[in-house]
Amino acid sequence: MFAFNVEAVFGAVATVFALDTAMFVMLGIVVGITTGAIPGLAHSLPIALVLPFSFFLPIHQTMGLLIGTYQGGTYGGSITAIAFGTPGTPGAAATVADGYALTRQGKGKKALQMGLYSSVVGGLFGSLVLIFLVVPIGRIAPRFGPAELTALYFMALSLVVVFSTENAGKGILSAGIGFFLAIIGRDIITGGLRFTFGIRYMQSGFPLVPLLMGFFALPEIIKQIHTVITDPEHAGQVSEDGVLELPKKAEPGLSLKEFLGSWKGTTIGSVVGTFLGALPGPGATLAAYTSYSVTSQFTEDKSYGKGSLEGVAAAESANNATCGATFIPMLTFGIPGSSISALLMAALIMEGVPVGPRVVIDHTLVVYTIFLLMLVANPFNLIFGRLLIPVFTRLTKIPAAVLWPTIAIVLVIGTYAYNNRPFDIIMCIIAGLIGYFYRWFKLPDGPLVLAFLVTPLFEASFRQALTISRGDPVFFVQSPISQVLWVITALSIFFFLRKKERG
Amino acid sequence: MKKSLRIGGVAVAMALAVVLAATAGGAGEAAETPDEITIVVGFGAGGSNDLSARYLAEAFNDHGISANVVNMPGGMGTEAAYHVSTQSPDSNTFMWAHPLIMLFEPAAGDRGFTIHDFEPVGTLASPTFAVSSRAGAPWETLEELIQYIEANPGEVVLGGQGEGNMMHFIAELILDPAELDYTYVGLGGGADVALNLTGGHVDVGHLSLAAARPLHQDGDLTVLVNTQILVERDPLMPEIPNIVEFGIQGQEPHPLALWAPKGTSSALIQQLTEAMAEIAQDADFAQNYQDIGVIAHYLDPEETWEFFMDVEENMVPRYKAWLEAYLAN
Repeated sequence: MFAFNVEAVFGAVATVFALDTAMFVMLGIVVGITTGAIPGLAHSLPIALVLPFSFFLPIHQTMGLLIGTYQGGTYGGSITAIAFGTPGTPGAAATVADGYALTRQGKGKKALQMGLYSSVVGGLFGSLVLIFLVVPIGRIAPRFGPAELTALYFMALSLVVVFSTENAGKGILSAGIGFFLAIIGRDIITGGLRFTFGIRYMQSGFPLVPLLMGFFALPEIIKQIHTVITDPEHAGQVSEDGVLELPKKAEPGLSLKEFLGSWKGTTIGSVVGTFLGALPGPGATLAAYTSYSVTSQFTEDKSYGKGSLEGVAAAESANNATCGATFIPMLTFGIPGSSISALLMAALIMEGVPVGPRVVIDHTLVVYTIFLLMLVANPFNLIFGRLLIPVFTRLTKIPAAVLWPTIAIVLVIGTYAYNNRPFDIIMCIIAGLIGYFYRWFKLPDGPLVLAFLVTPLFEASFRQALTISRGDPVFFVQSPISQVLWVITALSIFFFLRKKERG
Repeated sequence: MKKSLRIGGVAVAMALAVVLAATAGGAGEAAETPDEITIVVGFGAGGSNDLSARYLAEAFNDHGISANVVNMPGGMGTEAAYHVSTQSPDSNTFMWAHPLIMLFEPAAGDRGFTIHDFEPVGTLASPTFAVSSRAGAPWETLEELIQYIEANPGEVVLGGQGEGNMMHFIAELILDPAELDYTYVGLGGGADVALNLTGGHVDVGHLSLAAARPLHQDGDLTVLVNTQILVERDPLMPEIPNIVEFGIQGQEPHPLALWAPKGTSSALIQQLTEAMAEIAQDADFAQNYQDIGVIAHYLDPEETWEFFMDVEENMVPRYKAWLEAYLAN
């Protein structure tokens, strides 16, 4: 199906390394990083906004712009997660715990650099897997039917609940709240209404982006503004003439030793992100949390979860590794595995490239061009990320009286822009109250986010599997894939319990 | 003094946030300029609903009508329809919607609007859906599939797009579960159906012809029949028979029409209608639609209203009765 075509490779190289293509990739990276760093503007939004360019731009420029936006946006979400504890995109939610803790310890620059470098490593890994293993991995994806996906989602949820906290009870409580929030709205199969309390807007459920933005950002905004009011001496300085007084002393950057010291997190993140990215459904957020949880069992860093560079590496390498992998179902079957790949597929169709199982054969040059663009976008991500890190590092030093109200404004605008619905801002505030409750009782956030994401997927797969099997539970463990996943789940829980028992 | 200044600064900034939020809310309420129209799509960017609207907006721009597309996903498109129904008639906001949104969803429960809150501008797009079977299935035609189900009760699994909705209803019109013993499973959407078919998790699938065609050509599935309502044979795959050719009334009412909030200026509607009539004649436009699995088929406002009213009178009551029985089970 996928024979190596030297002529097409040279054609793609000539196309991608042309100045115009590079300019559009760079433009996409800048747009992506910038919008990704605005809380609430999930990176599908800028991609949707640049989609109409496919009406008049040639295909290599369109794809350069879209892929640049995608890769830049996926990385950009980590910037505000690290700098302000507010994930710019849902995929960066897992980065908050360690990234923001590092910033508060005065190591924000190190964290931002680790986020960037691990994103680039994950992105490169995902792109290389896409190039060399697109067909074999693509052929595996359809083998995940309802029974296999049920096992996969159960495994992901178990790993995060069990590994994310010292207190499994708190983890289960946190997941339970996430589960409840996820089932609000319509029954995903029958369309019946659940817990909408007669509010029409609730029929479409609790929206993801307002939930994450409110949950992570609002408690921090309230806390910081409270500090501004009650303890102004610790809230930064604004001079008499209103000019911001930023600290003069530069923060130390990430050393090579520190970067290499987080190899476990980067490696696990790259592999987990690529695997989960290739499956339709899970996406960057699930990949980042799963990788973060798995790494927690292998890291020797005692500060994991409280300001660990390896924690940042595990989450960031995973979410960027999904970028290349998400193309796999699209290029092997013409089936978009995520909302982002649906947008990229739409752009290809609008450019006159019918996407299906034969696209690799019928449009080899286009496919090679996409492969190369995925690769080339990573170095550009690195360059522009490096240029922007000093800016964001200094932004964290802006006096709280200016910084946090500004973040509040951006948050409101970003949340509204998610769906053009004013009601989402109310949902964001409700999520903020939930976030405050979590801080008060020191509940782990990972299980809530994961349960919220996975519950609809798990529920759908579980009910579909039950329907197909006509209620036969054996169906859930019939296939070898399901068996492997259930065994991994059981072993993880077993080893976790044994580890706890040994103190 | 410094402290009070800080508190004042925070208060001003927070007030600004509220004002900006209110302004942002207002931005969604009205179009920016009177001569620019907004086409609201009830699904996310990238699908056939969205792409057909984007091609239409582009064609409007070529006809001197500035148009932009706004995606407002949620509630099977009903969130967007409700939003448009509550807009003022001079907002220049229009809804791009098919009978599933305008008729079937409001029939299933209160969605905050009905079709009578809108005025038709015209129909232009009709996506084609199909029934397909997995590769290697022991049947090659719809008749053989029916015979197989009769001979092997309980064995065949049909994957459709959700449960209790119009598409499930249509699937059961095609394969009547009262006469045929098979399992219907509601999957996530067209992509999910395609994956489950190619993976062999379901035997028969109900999905768009555009999604099924490349997989059919590659031998990953077999398209058995199309369910297009406006034409019998879809030019995308003219060799595939229409469901009515089997004597089964299972044509799907999917045509996408442009709708204006009730009371919208008739002059503006007329201007858009005339543009749509011209756009429908454009061969490039029709080809673009064909590439995304949509037939460019124009119906003027009267024909659009007649079509939707026909569906409301003849199909929706049957759907409601079916839904009640389905939910009771």
